[in-house]
Amino acid sequence: MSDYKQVIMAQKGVKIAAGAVVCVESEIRGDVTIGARSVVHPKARIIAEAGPIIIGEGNLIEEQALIINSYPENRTTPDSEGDEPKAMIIGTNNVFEVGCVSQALKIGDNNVIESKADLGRNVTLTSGCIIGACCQINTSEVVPENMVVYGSCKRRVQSERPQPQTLQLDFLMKILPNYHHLKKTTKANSTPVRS
Amino acid sequence: MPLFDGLGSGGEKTAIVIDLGAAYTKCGFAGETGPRFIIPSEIRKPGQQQPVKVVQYNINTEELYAILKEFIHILYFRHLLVNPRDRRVVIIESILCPTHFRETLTKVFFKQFEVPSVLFASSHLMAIMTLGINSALVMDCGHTETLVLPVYECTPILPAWEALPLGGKAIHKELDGLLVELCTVDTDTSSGQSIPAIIGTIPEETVEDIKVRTCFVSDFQRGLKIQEAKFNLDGTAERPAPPPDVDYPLDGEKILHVKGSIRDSVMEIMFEQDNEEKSIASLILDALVKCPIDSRKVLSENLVVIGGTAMMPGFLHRLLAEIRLLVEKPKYSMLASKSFRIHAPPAKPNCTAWLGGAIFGALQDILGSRSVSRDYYNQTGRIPDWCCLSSPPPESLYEAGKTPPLMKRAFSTEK
Amino acid sequence: MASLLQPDKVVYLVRGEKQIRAPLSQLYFCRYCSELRSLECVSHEVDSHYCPSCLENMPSAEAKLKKNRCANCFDCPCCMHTLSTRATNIPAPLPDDPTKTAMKKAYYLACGFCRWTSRDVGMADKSVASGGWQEPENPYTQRINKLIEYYQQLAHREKQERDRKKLARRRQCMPLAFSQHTIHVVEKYGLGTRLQRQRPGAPISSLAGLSLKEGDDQKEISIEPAQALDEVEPLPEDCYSRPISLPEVTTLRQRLLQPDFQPAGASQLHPRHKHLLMKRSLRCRKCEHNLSKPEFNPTSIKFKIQLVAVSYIPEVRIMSIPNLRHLKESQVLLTLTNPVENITHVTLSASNEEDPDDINSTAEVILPNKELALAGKDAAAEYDELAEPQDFQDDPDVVAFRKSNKIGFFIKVIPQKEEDSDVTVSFKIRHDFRNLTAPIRPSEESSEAAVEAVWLTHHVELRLGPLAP
Repeated sequence: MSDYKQVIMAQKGVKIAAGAVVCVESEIRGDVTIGARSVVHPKARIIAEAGPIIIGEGNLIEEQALIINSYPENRTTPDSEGDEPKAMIIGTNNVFEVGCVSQALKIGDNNVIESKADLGRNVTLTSGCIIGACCQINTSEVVPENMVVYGSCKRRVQSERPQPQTLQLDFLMKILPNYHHLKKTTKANSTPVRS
Repeated sequence: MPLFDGLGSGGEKTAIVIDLGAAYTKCGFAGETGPRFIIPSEIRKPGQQQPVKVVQYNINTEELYAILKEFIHILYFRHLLVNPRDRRVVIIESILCPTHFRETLTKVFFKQFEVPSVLFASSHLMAIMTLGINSALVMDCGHTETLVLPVYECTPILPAWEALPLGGKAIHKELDGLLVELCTVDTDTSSGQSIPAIIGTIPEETVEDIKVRTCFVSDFQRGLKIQEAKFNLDGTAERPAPPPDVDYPLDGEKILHVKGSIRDSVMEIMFEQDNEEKSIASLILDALVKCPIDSRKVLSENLVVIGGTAMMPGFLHRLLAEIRLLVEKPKYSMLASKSFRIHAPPAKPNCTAWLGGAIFGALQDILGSRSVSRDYYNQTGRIPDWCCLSSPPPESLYEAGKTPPLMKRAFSTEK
Repeated sequence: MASLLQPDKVVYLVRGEKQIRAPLSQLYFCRYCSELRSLECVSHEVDSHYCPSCLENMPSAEAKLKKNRCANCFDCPCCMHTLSTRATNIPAPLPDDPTKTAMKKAYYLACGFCRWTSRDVGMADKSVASGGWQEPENPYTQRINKLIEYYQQLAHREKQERDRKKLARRRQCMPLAFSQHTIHVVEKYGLGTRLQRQRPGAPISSLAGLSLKEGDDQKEISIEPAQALDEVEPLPEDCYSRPISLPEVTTLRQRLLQPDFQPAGASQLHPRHKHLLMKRSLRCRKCEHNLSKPEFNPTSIKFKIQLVAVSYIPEVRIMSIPNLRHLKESQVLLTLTNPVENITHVTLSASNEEDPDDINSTAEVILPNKELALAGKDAAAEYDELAEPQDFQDDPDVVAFRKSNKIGFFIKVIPQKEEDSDVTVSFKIRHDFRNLTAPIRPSEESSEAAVEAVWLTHHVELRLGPLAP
């Protein structure tokens, strides 16, 4: 973790690993790192305001999804007290569906945040969680593995985690470059592409 | 169902059995093994957030009629999907049901839905039909009250009834009080807030859900200790270690911490003796005392407990233990028989009375003659009460054995 | 738009068993009785069953057999959403060589909403896409059927006895000297007194007669009475110490959806077949004719018969309301629309002083005293620019305008009450109605003769809103 942070502090700006597909029309601000085989659709927004955002491999970030590392409530400027900016870390194979908002600082692997869902800053997603459409989770809690939140924030635990969207990612990686300009990937410091 | 359908006399259609409870209504068809639906006894009005309770005793007839009409309409056309005019109706009622409610309900069935006949059957009596026995001491532990009624040789011993207003409603009230008093809520920014500060009150559905999913009845020894600690104000009595707390998410933003001490102690109100030394366990003994001496042994060895509240985990075990302790008191020394045995009916306690009604409703040979027919109702304009003897027997109005005018209409769409 | 968005501004009175005031758009018109009908005073009937998920029609006999449930569709036991069938490939050992495996198609049920799958509760995948899923059966079925058989035997015997008695001309039933007091009666006569038993007026004690009588000659079905238990299973010991995981405990709603089992653990939730819905038809209680009958096909929202009042009765609407002031006369512009194809003649008259229908009005109303003629409805006329407007020689003081089958006319309103409540006026509307499709009545009139017009009168109430400040 600390290595990550050092790396981030060293070079600000957007780093896109080779093999990631990030459309030019997406809005990416601040210190954002996007891992290989991740796809960022046009009009998706990834905003690192209060600290860096590190997105792992194989993530799918759809249109109008908002991933934001924002200042906690009531504060709009970096804390002068100098407490360290908190990094937002997103694992691998997560899906952020159309119009979702995620402020969660830690998201594990294989999660699905469905359309219009809203994740608060103090939530930690472990792995295999599904936050259903329009559900809002704004508590300070660690959501246990394979938890499904659905409807009016009802919960259940399912036995298997959602499948990674490999086929969909492959398809998008093939099709998106035909219709959109892509952001340049950064050569240096990129995570190696999985074959 | 197909087995009993059409085989009965006259090819009559199976009757409808409705148990209109204060909290939940059970409905289905006679001869079946369980109700088709258990739905909340309430209707929703457009534009109103709060549902309207169907079983209300202190409202005016007009309003009650409108509510019942809408509710029964939903029962027929949403759930049962049959024509009301084709089928007899068996209604499971409590013997404490007010005449006003009963009459309005009858009026809705006959005037609005034009059902061929209505039979009111007491829930306690129906419960023993599920067991094939003739005598039992039946306790109905429902939403508003707990009612004990001995039934001897198929006859309710009415003078011996005993009741206390302890049921689901009382538990909800107690649980709500305890939650508000003892529990805290976490939100995204703060933790350990009190309930009134954050959400005001807890809706009853949530309270019910907490009750059903987290609470249970402690066993006898443990219960005693909990009660001791509760009423012992100087703190000498030690409470047994409470079960683990439960984090109950109220919605996406708030988490309620349900204290373990609430989970095992909320049901104690059913067993705590009040100033008159009454608890639900004492109801059974008090009822026994009022019964004729010859019947007591049979009754005490045939306890039947029905009603949704009796489904709380550990309830029956505790009840039996309480009775066995109480019977040793000098107050009950006249009870010669100290053996108590409890029945396990072939249905969940909340459906037992319904099942009895379904069995009775399948007896097409006598269902017609025991019911009040529409013709009789239209002529007299009233439903005879079970305690009413003033009216002459209306047998002449429907010749026994004659098929009632069920298929008056030439073109019924239902096959 | 008033009839769509503010339907209760103009209400018509329906004289059923109960008087109901409702907007015309919510009413039916029985053309056989020539009367308005509301939903309250018609009988509702089940017309046809269908599955709301697959929109398949199900004949009612079959629906009954299947307990009103669709054979193919399932509900999620967790969230009640409809389940979908998913197909996957799973490796299965070959029958001839168990060491090798081949991919085999397998189907399971999954919920797209809460992600419940039939695998979650350990249901094995099926090799066929539909029909393989069984609902668990109530474990007590046999016992309950036995009980029913037993009681049916008793009931049959009782019936025979009753029939026999009837032949023997029963003596007068009840002595009249009973105390009115229940308790006495039950104590005295409760124990299976035959007379008592046959009184339908006393259901509780009448239910009492079902115990087996002595000396039965027929072969009889006997049942073992249930045995009471000495002990009840206590709670498991770990109940007091084991932390519970909320998602593993079912909610009350989930339990009640499975009345026979009411499982407490989420792992025992089984999917249930989807419950059917039905189409409803309406029937006039008086003449038993259908007022509304939907088409059979579940995907169609049309009707075979739909006698809605707006297509038979001239509709009054409010067009403009001036500022109303206490005891001041104001002119309110109303419109009147003719829904039928022939000319309709309408007269309006104020209610009498003693009119029992007139209970709500708070203002005096002055109505046009001439007969208003409404042109017939002609759907084609709107597009026919050359069509000559019919000349009705209207009095411009009364009729404000005329447009195809609609006229606008003025009434004068004098509010009589000064309170805050709405100004309400009521009047009678009388119009002729030619029943073109009425059943042929057994009369000497030849069918060639013009259909006789009947005059119908309706009581109409207008709510004109509050007085101007």
